[in-house]
Amino acid sequence: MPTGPRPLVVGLGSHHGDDRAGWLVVDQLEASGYPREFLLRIAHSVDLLDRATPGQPLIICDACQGSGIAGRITRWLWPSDQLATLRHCGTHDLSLGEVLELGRTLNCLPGHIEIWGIEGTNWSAASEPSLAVKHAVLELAHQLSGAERHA
Amino acid sequence: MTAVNTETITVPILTRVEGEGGVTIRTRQGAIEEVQLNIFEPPRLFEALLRGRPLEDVPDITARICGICPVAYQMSSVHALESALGFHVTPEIRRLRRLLYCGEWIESHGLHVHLLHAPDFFGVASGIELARQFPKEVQRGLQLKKFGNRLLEALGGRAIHPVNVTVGGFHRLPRREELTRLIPDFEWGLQAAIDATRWVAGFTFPDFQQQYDFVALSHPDEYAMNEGDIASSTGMMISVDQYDDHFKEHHVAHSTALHSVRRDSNLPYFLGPLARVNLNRDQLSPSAKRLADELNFPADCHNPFQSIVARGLELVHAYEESLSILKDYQPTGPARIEYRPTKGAGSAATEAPRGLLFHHYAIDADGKIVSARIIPPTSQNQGQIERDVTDYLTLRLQTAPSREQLATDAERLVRTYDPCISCSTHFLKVRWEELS
Repeated sequence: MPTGPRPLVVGLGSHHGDDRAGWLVVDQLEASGYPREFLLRIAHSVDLLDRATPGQPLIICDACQGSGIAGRITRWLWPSDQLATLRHCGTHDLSLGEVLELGRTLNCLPGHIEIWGIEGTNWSAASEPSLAVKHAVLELAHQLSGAERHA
Repeated sequence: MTAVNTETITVPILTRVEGEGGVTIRTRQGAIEEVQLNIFEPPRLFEALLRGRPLEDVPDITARICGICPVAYQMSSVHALESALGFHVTPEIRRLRRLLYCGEWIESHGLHVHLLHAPDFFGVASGIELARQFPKEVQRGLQLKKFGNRLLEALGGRAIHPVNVTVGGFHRLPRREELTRLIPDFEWGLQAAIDATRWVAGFTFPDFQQQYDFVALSHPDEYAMNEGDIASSTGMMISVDQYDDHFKEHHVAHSTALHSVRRDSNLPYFLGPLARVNLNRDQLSPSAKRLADELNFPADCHNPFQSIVARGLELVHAYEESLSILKDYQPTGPARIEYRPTKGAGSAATEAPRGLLFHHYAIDADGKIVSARIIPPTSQNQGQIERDVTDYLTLRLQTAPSREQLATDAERLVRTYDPCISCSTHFLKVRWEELS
């Protein structure tokens, strides 16, 4: 059974369609009782460096594009060669990969970083997320809130 | 028959700018023939989205236009709507709005200076590489930015699209301790901003001077953010509701963003921190003014690459003004002014981090939006950006650079404007051009 400090869960997103996925995961975790002080919603990847600390595990939830299957959930462990293929989507200031690399250069990130991507297909301005993404949000939040993940 | 040698150099995706945009450069017989700043963001439908909505929805909806400058959209919208409704807020609310704007300037300028623009002066491709050479400076920049976010959270309710702003003021006044606990961070930040500006002022700047028509808000009593007249370096001084008499937008084929020009000259103009510092230097905070003098920052700077220093000076100003407001803050008076909907129309312009942001709204007797017009600074700057790239690359051609170097030069010049491309489109007829 994994032990250690409770992870900081960061939802990265925007108000536009499926790009809201990361925030919705955090919303769902908060609703299910995950301590608020371990939850963070951000619109720009670089903002995670405001809160991340080397001693606290980090979980990042974000929308992604790839296979074209909306709602598909993928997990990466950073650093990972697979993340080199993550393209910068949307209007974030620095890509997530760049921010993680910057954090590593500045020694301000933990060694254990999980990245969860929920695949989206609708990015229209100010639109609602798709149903498949909403279902995936519930699934991922349930998985992350599992008691066995924490000490 | 002489063969004409033409060439097209394309920077398909500009890096380190907000949103997605590219540059196309066409040369003929070795000379720059045309430069196009290509905007790839989908047209913004926000002006249409607002029609029929209650006016109270406008600040929250317009804040979603831009992830980096939501406060600017909220401020321009509430001021325009209050103008339409015919009332003013209290001095206390006015001060808090300036404090909120300071938070946004700090967050935006902190990011741009350190992670988006500074790398260009060291020939590195990213803030990551810069951090390897200057870890303390980049850490300082991130800390400066972080405290801007903290201020937005404390006063705006959250850093991402603040939720506390409403027509008439705020939904809630923060408790005194919610703001005063930021004071130690902002005292650190003021000195850090001074140190950061000294650092960037020591960069080597390309020798590129242009004649610009600088345009910015100007106010007799303060460094203009939310209020003032529209001034220019060519002598214009107009009220904001005269904006349409002096500026016009037109569609260009290669971009989904409209271009703006002065009506009298049919020429582009220059918005942003460099324009503000040039036009309003005397209104900078004491520390920012002293620093500008210490650094011998030109009284009338015409080198766009030195915009980074202007941003640094505004960082200092924003920290110093924030400190002043934080120290004096007492939550007295109403959080917002009550009003009754009434038919009317109003305009406002505020100074987003990237320059003057104009809003105009017409409302009906029930308080519903009849029409909305939003003109962001980056779209207003587009024509000037293209002109600058044309002139700069013409200069650079004298040293016979490679295509790759020319493309890099073009990118670097575009970045001096800190363009927020995701803001710069609002709905118009779209025609896409295939580039071969």
